Amino acid sequence: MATTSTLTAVGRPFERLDGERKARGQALYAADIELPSMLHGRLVRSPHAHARLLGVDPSAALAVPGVVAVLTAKDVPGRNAVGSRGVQDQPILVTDHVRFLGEPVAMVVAESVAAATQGTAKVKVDYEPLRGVFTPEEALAPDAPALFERGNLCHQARTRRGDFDAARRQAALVVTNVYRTPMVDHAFLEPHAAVARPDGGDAVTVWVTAKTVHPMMDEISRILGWPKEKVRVIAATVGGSFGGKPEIPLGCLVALAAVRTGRPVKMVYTREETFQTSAKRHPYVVRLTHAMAADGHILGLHADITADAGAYTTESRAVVGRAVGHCAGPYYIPNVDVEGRAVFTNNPAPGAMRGYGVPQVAFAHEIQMDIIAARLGLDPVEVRLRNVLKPGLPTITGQPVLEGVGAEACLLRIRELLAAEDATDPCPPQGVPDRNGELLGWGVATFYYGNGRTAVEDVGRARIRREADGSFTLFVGVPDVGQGSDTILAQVACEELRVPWPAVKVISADTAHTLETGPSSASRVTVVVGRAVQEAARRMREFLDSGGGADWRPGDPLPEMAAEYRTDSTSLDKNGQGSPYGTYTYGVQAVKVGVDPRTGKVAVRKVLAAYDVGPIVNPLLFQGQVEGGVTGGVGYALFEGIRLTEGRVANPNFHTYLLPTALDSTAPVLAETVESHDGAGPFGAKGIGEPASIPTAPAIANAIHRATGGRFFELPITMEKVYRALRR
Amino acid sequence: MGAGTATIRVTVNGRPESLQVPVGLTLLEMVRDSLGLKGTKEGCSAGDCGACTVLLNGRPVNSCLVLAVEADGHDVTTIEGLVGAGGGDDTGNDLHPVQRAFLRHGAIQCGFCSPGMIMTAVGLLRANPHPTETEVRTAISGNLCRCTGYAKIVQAVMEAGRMMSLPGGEGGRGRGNH
Ligand code: FES
Ligand code: FES
Repeated sequence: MATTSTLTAVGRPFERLDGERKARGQALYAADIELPSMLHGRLVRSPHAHARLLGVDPSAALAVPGVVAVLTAKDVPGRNAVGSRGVQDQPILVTDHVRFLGEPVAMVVAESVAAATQGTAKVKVDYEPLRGVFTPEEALAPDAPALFERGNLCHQARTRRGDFDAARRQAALVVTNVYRTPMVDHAFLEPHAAVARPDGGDAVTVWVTAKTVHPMMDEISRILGWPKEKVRVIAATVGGSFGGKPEIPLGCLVALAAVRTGRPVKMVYTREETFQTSAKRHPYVVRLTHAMAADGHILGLHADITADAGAYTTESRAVVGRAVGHCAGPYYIPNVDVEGRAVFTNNPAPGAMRGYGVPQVAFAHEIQMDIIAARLGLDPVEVRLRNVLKPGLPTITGQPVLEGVGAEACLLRIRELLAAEDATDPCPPQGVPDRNGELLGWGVATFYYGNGRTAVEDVGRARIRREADGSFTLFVGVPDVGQGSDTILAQVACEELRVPWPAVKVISADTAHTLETGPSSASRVTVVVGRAVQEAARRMREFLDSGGGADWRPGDPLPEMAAEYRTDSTSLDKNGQGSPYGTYTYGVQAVKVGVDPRTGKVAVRKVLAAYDVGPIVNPLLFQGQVEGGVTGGVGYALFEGIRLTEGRVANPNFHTYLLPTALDSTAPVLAETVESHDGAGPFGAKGIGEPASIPTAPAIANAIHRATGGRFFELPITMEKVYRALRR
Repeated sequence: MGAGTATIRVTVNGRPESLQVPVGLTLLEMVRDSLGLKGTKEGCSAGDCGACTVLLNGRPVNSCLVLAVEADGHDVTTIEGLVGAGGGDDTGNDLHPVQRAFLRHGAIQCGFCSPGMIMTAVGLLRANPHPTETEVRTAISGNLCRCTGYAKIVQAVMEAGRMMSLPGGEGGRGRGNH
């Protein structure tokens, strides 16, 4: 464990700052906000996945008692197109072209939810249904109907280095397989919600459930055609994100409705709407070819990755960009030829979800590693050890691995732990039940994960104010999405200010008070924002130590310090070469499964994990991230998956889309950290939010193979699939 | 939708209320909208997630599946009614022992499942003060949590059970209060 023993706030398992409010039921989530004379919105949504919109007639809806307004695309004063990361191609209300089922065509605003709902049934909409495309293969066919004028190819990215063809010719073994992963839902417990309040005639305040507020402000200001200063966006308490939220059209719609009606407006999605229309994890098809030397070294990797981008770009470019840089896993591979693409279809558009394109490729590369080990007669951990990235070696994007990285140490530690398990509680041979009638096996998977946004200079900003009573207030632009970032950042500030916990209060994610500092995603908050917090705190401490603020009198402005931190990541060249991240988190998970040979039911029995994640800022929150991440990974591995029929989600609720319950998630998760010294974050810390869940699914797949002999190339590995494999 | 309304009398968090409600109104809507008690959450409206759990005559129910008129004449406890109900501790903290245990164990992340989860746990511990781990897991299996992986929640409920059975009963006044 990296040492934090001289520190007094960092490294301590403090209770989270917002915990008591949440335990009392006092934390206000967006749907809990009530304002005087507030109206309620409901959306008229397209029943077609692909259609021309011919006309919308709101007159009958306007006659429903309580209905105040019906908004259509014609009511959007600014540019009716939103998106993230510079690509704005999604209208908040359809103008003429419906691209996915459930896309909003009109918003009914009424005195009550009931009246708004009645109104939606009365809006008359004319559609001309069009042939849709529902898989990337269909969408790329020559005669496919196009979603956009520029065609159905949303984005393409490459990573190339060395000479893969030459590596293939030299190889003693070539292993090619195709892996498929499903669309899955974030399934945060809090459905999407937003509230807007007009402030006079020319300003608006919007409360959202979101991982970021400043981009939301930008989108709303463009939709309204207003300057940004007139739009204030505040994150309410956020009921889970995992990469999802905000739902950008929702925030824009309540703002527009509030401005149009001159009254506050609230809109809350039903669970079904959240499932049918909001972002998900991209489904991938990944074809990997490894060219191997006889001694177990990887000579070359060829990868072809296709992601279903759904109906709009959202985050697809960045998700695919991250996948093509991570698809090798944390291994040194001199010759690489990778191509990835995202393709538009008439499915709901996926976006960012915990791991951002990496869980999909990790499922592929980690099963490949086990297959390779078996073909070469090597132990699965050994083949990984022979290839794992070490300081000085380049990643497949050519970024040199820093001194102090502990990826190898993680594998060595897992090997020790597995040996100890084997000595005390050995698994019977493959296919042989233990005394409880279960087939048992361990599987391992490694990963690495670049912290922060890909190949862009990632900027963190923070501000600290000393209050009249001597306490401090920290202002940060990122919301706490439940992972505990307010608490983590306050610990960093307390440590650097050298004040006792918890002398720092946090105000987060309010565009009127906090500086733009990017989203609460990409495992970047601790590292990128944390460094800015540390720097602001250091400046404040030095200011106070040198006598600053000593002559402060009531009425004077309170002393304040701001700071900015920029990662030294670089952009990528046309071959995908460069240093896209400041820091990487590395790790290994080993999972023990028990398989019931009569039913094919898989139970996770134990999870061991070793991470190179730098010093842990808060062990209680760290363990919570790991346990939650592993549980999400178990769902991804064994049962989760959105089922789509021509763009319609067939399982849009929690009785058809099953999540792990307390009865499914019973395995102890024993997570350790190894010493590492490359962390760019405050006190050397790195991000854990996403990494926690990336290796779980492939580790489970490998464990099921060890237990049963069955190989699975497609997620989820359902009971039925395991049952059938056992019968073969 | 039925046009009828009914007058009901319910005791909510110890306070008698008389309410005129549409017959189709759910107990969840009554608590959140008619009474403005926003601590109880709505995650699915279909009985699948448990975020809306309240105690009806001391037993946990999914309030999205119960009509307000069915609560007529009965006793409802929401998360807001829990404080003080378990007695305070010597530091003047009025949180219920289950709430305190959730905080101490890090059983709360985003917190959206927490009110429902806590109410289910309180209901369980009233009926079964010494549950086994399996009994705890079974009791909360209707309460979904996407953040925590449940381990810390289970630990918190077990610890709260132990605290509450210390001298002082459900008061759970904890150590140093004999
Ligand atoms: S809201 Fe009642 S069970 Fe989900
Ligand atoms: S803490 Fe977020 S759903 Fe349980």
